[in-house]
Amino acid sequence: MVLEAVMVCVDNSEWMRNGDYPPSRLDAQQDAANLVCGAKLQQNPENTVGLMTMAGKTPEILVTQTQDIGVILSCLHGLRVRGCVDLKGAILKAQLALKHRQNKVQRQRLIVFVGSYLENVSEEELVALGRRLKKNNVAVDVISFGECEANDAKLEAFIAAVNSNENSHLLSVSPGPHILSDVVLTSPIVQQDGMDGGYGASASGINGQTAGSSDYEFGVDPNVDPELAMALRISMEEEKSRQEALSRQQEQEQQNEAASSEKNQAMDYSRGEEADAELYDSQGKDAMQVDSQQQQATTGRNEEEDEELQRALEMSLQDNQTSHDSNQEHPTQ
Amino acid sequence: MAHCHHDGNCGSSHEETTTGEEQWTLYRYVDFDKATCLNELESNSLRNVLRPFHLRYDTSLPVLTSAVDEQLLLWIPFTQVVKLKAIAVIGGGGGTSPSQVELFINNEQLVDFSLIQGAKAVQTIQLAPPTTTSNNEWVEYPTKYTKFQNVQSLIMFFPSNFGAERTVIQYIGLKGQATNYRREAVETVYEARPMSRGTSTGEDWRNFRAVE
Repeated sequence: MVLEAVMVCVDNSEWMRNGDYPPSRLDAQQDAANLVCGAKLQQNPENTVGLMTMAGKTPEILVTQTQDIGVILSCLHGLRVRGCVDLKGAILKAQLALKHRQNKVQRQRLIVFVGSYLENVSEEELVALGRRLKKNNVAVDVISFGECEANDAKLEAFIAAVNSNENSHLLSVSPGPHILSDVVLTSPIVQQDGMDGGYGASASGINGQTAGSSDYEFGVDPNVDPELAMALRISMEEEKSRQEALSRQQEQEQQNEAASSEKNQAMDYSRGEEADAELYDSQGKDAMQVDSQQQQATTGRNEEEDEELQRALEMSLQDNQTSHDSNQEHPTQ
Repeated sequence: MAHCHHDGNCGSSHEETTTGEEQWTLYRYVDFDKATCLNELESNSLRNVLRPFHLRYDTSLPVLTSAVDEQLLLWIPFTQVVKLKAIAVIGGGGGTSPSQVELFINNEQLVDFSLIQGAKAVQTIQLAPPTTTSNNEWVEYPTKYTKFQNVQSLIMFFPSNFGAERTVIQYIGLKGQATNYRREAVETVYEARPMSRGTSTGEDWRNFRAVE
């Protein structure tokens, strides 16, 4: 939960009219910028975010450091496409704006969206700029989309120059079926390493189709919903123990079949009633287990109970004389 | 009335003792959560150099190294207002030791290289080059004491070193005394009527005044 002052630089050059990121690069960038601003403001109550454009006659600061996401959102929607990006001038202006922030305890960070081809700035200039930013303790995250291959070399050199202890990242998003905001959501730019992925992880837990991987097992943040996370973990353990029991039975089945196959078939039919009795027993035991765990878990558990009961039914039907052992192993959980 | 003569048996603290360790204790009053260093190679390495006096030659402890070029800018806020008498800087030896230090007081806005280039320092000290013969020498640089009576935060700017690409600092000593003046909320207990016992402060009432 680092305290940060963030300046978001958006690209509003003519290259943003392109439709390779639906509906257009500008709209996709708006969504992603909005997401990033919201995420940063949530990460720490004292974080502030500013907004500036990079293209046009000169880079222009639209919103100075603020905590009001509404102002930023309205400015994002009012963006007009014009001109070409002046990356070096924009970054210098952003650094100047951050230098004069009110709260000097905040760390300085730039988040730059690059969607156009960087033709009027050379790699050496970018590296010198990067070193200057690193000297002043400014971290930079670059989100490159649209012209990824052409800009990759320059931007990687830039990030390597700025990076100090892994605080700066380069995210390249090539055009494809995914949504720009979703890729940004699951990247280290929004998700802090370690504890803080609350914003990104819980959102990605809900939207299960995102391309990236969640930081948490089962896709649910234990901080957000501890009962659901525990319920998922318990059902996973139960499933594992059932699988082990099943594989053990299968081994024994194979051995028994090798010994005397006909005898087993006869025994199966006669044991049909015993199997039924065991079925009711297992149901009872599962029900008791479920009741005791319901006291801990929330109602979200109901679906998993049904699944468990079905699995128990299937397994009991397959059981033969070894089913007793497996049922007696269940209540250990 | 006996006067306290300043001879060897006096034991008053303002005699210059040879070790003087008890005076190099201002590192204890540094607010490390807020202290920052610009252009450092590893983050949070400021704690390594603001260490106890007897550890100043301990080369096994990590040091403060500059990252991009040879300049370093340290911002050291204190938890109390202190009086700074002298400083000592032990560099990394060779060309990596800093050659000059500029001191600024109580100015939070200057924590930026471009702003500090144009600012006038409260005191500029030329540091002695490191000796090649012995490693166990260090120099104490006294401050213009009258200007350093009321230090809440200190900026140390090292603009240059003795020729190496990076500056290495092994130890920074701050000599002085703390005044116990803090800027924080006062703990008070308000009572509707005076209670001689049962208050939670637990201390003797010093400024007790009876109102009749």
